[in-house]
Amino acid sequence: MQVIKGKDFNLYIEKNGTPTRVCNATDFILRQTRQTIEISGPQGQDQDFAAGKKGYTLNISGVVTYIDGFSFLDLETIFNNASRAVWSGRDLIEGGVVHTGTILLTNLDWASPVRGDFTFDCSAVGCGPKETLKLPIPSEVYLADQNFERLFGCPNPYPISVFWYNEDGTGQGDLLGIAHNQDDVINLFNNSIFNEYYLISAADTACDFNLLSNWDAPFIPTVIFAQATPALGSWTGRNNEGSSPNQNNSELSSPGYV
Amino acid sequence: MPYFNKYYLEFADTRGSNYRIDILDSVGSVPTDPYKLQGSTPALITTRLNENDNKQIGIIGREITLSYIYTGNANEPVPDDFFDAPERRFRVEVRINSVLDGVYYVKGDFSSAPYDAPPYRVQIKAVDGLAYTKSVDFDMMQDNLLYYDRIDLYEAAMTRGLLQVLDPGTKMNVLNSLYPTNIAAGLKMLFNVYVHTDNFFDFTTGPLSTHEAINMIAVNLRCRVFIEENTVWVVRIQDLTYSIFNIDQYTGPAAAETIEVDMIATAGPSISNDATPISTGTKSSQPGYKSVQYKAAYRSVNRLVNFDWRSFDGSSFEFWGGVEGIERRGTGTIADLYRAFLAYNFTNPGSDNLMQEVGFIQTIPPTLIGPAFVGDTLEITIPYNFINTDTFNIQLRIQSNNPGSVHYLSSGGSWIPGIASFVTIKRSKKKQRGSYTVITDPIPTNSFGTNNYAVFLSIYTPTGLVDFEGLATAGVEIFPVKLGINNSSSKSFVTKAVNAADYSKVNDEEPFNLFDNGDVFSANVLTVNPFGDHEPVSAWDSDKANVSPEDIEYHMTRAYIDQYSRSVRMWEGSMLSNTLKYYQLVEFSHIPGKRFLQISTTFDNENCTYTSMNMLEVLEEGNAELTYTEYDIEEEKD
Repeated sequence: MQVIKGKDFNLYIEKNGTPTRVCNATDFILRQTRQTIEISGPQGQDQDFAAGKKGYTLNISGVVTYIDGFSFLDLETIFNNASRAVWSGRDLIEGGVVHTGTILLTNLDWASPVRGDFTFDCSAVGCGPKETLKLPIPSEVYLADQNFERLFGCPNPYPISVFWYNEDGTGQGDLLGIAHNQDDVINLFNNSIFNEYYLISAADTACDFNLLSNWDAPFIPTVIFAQATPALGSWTGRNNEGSSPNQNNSELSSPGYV
Repeated sequence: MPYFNKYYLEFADTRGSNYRIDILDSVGSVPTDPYKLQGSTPALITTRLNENDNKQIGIIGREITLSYIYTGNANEPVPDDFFDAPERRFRVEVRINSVLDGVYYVKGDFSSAPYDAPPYRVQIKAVDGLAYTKSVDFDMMQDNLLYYDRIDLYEAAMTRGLLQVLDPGTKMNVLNSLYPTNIAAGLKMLFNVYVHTDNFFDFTTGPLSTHEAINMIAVNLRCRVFIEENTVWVVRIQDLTYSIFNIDQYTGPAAAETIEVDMIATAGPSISNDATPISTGTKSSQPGYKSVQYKAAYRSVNRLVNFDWRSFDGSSFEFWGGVEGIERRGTGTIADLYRAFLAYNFTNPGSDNLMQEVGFIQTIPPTLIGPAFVGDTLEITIPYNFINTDTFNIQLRIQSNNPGSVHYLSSGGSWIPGIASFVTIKRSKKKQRGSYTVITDPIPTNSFGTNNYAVFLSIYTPTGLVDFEGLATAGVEIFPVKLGINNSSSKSFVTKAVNAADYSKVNDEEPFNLFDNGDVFSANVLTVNPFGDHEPVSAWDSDKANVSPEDIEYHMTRAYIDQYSRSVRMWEGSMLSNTLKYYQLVEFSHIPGKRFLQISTTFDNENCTYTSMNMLEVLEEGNAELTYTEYDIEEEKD
């Protein structure tokens, strides 16, 4: 289970068009409401309702700073201008589930207790829908051996055997096939029957890839597991020529051996 | 007038229909892009204007309330633009999912905004074409002349009526099963039943408003008229009892077809129902009626030829005798009708007259084609305008083919035998305009055994000189004159239906206008014209088994009692829906077997909520047990 810690979930408000972290906010509370219309009528004694309008409010509190990120002064500016602000809340820097919408500030309070910090408290009402964006999570991966070490021979280790992951993504899993070049790795990986959540594309070197993981992927890989493969049909350095696709070594799939 | 799209509002209702509201201006030039206004909740409220909770209201207009936020932006209309505008300056078009739903005109006097610094919410009210017809006269003119003839009901209602306000091509849906038995089967009723334009024109006060004219027809057929989905609906309440609704759709002055329309909506707890009642509804009842009573005044067709002074050769009016110094004045428009100007004759004041003879007398051999009969009453209206004079005479003489039978009209409306008499019309102080109107006593019997009379109307040149109008030539202007003959000694008649059931409510006597007394010289008789020769409608029948052929006034009176023959259920409350149409009846899933007619509604379009809705139960046609009577009233005098 992935638990998102409150400290990791951050609020951003657009400042000059750029989402800017409200890095001095300590608490960020969202309340969504739904009005109801009672339609019980004569059909019985049980109450029945139809849905009415929905809305939400935000409550933000934090310590007052004047400079960092979207500061108290920035909040004051949008409050004074009565301008609507685009907010977003997310636990990742890029991608993942992003909550967003437009707000109008309705309250902006501060408190400077003599024994505590100078803090603010701010309320806002949502204008229009609160949207939940489910964005792919970008990252970079590279060809690696089982020890997560960059594959020997990079940037040109080919031909190689490419593997999927074990269940929780912490180690090497089943063989996907033999790759003779970077495009083969991309094909094998993206079209694998094991792959439900990931998409790779070529990056800087033949060993590096850009990865897009679905927002609901069970894990975010850091590498693509691979093993160097003998030169096909000509390597004679070992008794069992080729590579073993599964853990019990019962079957060989190296085309060189055939 | 041309309209330019200036502003618009857009919103989606809570059930996903997209609304666009365009505000068009008839002043100024077309802007490159209409400016989008910021809507305010609720952005659009649609209200049906029904003054009381009665099924029998004829015309039901629609009013919308638009709201936008005025922020002070220079592109936005300041509220005063709407407040100060004449009623037709701003036109509002409402489209639902890109389909035109209604056209409205802003009524500045209903609009409101807070007296405050912007931003604030501005509310604009606009009314549909039906409500607006109150300010538009019935179109009585054709080629700059008063159109005095029988026209079919479509021409009366649409061509000369509503289409003055609505866009060309607006369709009319008519649900009506009544038809005269003397038109051929399958013919469309509105194209084949005729009404005289005299009903829509008063010789003293001018044309009726279009609203009055449409209402006259609607009440006569016991129909409700309203606009829904940009189409005029004429719905006879008695016909809301069918199971399948076939409607005559009129698309133009000669084009109509029959279409089937779904007129039943269900209201219940399921989302598959057309409407969902919110838990605020109440069921109550309205009392039944003991009796209803209508009164109609007899109204005759004008028998004078060239009554509106249309044919003038420069020295005399056709069919009228000559008068020295006679002129025709006016431009022939409804605002400036043609008038006959009788100049003051300085040599012999009051000696000349304009005379027209209705009927024909020849003493040798004695023949008479006289249209007026013993017992008839005559109806005369002479509107006039004094200029530097204060008196003129008229004379109305009737005569059979025996010279001894001459009678003259007295100023009180009675008949004086033998001695030449005049009706003297005196100016009231300095007031120039006036009108002399009389319905005479019945023509008396004479001792010469003759029964019918020719009628002679003479209008004399003025006498008394005054100097109220400066240098203008002294004389009197005579506006279009009416001389009608009522083939009845009565002034009016009453129809009354009494409910056999015990109820105590009685309606206030109401006027009605069009009927079937069989007299083709009566202006308020409906006619058919199968062979190019108008004949009165005979009885009105319906394809329903329990409807027997009867006069239209019977059906009208019966319809009232039928719909209130017992206390009727009423439902008031709020409903959720965005599919319910005003022409639809509502059947509640928890009140099975009853149909409810929508009376007044207030619809919040954005929230798809009828915030108030009044509905009345519709009863079966012919269910009332009643006694019907019709009798003449003779004593009254105008």
